[in-house]
Amino acid sequence: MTTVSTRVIKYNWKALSCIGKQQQQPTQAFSSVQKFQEEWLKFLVCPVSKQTLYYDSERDELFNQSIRYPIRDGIPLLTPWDGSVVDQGEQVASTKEQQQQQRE
Amino acid sequence: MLSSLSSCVFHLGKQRWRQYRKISSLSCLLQSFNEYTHFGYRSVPKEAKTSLVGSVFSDVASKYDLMNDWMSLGLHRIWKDLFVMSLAPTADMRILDVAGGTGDVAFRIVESKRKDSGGSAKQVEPVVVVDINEDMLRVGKERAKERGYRESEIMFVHGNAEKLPAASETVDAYVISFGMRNVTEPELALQEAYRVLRVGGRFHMLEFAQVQNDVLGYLYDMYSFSVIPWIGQLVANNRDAYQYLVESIRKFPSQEEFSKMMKNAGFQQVSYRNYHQGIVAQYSGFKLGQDRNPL
Repeated sequence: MTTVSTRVIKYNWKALSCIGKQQQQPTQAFSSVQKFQEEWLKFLVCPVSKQTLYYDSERDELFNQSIRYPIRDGIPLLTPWDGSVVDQGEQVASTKEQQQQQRE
Repeated sequence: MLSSLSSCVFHLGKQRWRQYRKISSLSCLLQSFNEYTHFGYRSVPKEAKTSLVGSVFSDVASKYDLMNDWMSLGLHRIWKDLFVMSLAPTADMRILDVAGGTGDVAFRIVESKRKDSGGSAKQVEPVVVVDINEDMLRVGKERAKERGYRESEIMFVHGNAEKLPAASETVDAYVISFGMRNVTEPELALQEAYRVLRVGGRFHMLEFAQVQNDVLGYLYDMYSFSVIPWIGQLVANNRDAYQYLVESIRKFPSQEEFSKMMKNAGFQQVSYRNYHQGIVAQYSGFKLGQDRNPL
């Protein structure tokens, strides 16, 4: 390739790569985030035990007995890794760890 | 000048393409171990794959829709339109969109439900979008808000397709669009799909598949390994995520193999339909109850 074309390509590459560098991170703060609606609970159950969940409005969490799932930005986090086993207000283990312990 | 630029990219792309073809044959040997699975052409422990996939999508969430347009040259809109048209959702169908992330398919379903209900007294059931990545869900929520969709029409939940936070037999249609190849164990996802569907419910899937035509396959491979990671670097500043994308397409089972997996999970009337000679395939199966062999 000629030196002219390599210089042109390098210049274009630098210019075009700026497109990718803008807005690399998704915006963290959303202006008005939807609050969790209690009527959604008729669809959602605990992913591990498949039991019904209840909404704790003070702590903005979903719970069933000692298992709690957080809600972030109005999105309930309901993967097995998100849950935590809470014993008298203190977190003991995550639901995933508890599941593994039960298997053993 | 333009021709030298394109030949330069083409040459680099061809080298990388040959490199990855060699790696793919090596990684087949490693997969004999049960604890390992494929992550594109790499071999990773099964437990790690879910978080690796999650991190790939966190990196690209903000540019995901733009990249879809660039990579598929706008065709992904047509595939999704046809997909939702063949599903024909009505207002009272409860639909679960798994790996729905930014909500492309879910929005089309909401529009279809709006048309169907059109002011009638039918109770409109929401579309539940489940995704393993929170950033994708946040992008989807913002887009839903921009379009003015109500909370009663669409809801976003962070969940794992292999362990869905949904009760058994509560869903009328299970929809998954370009998500199954990212699931660590598709068999588990199929079992969960069978569990949550009501009797008479439909499993509807859109996914990249094996190209049937050799000539088109050659051109498609060339395009996938040369152009797509390059556009990924340009637009999203992330070459590796799109390298993973094209490799994961090659690793996914073929149309026939996946249809067999669906039948093993219990689905009946399993069929698939190819778009563009197999670049994209649309799979459909029904949960029809206990009578597996009517004859």
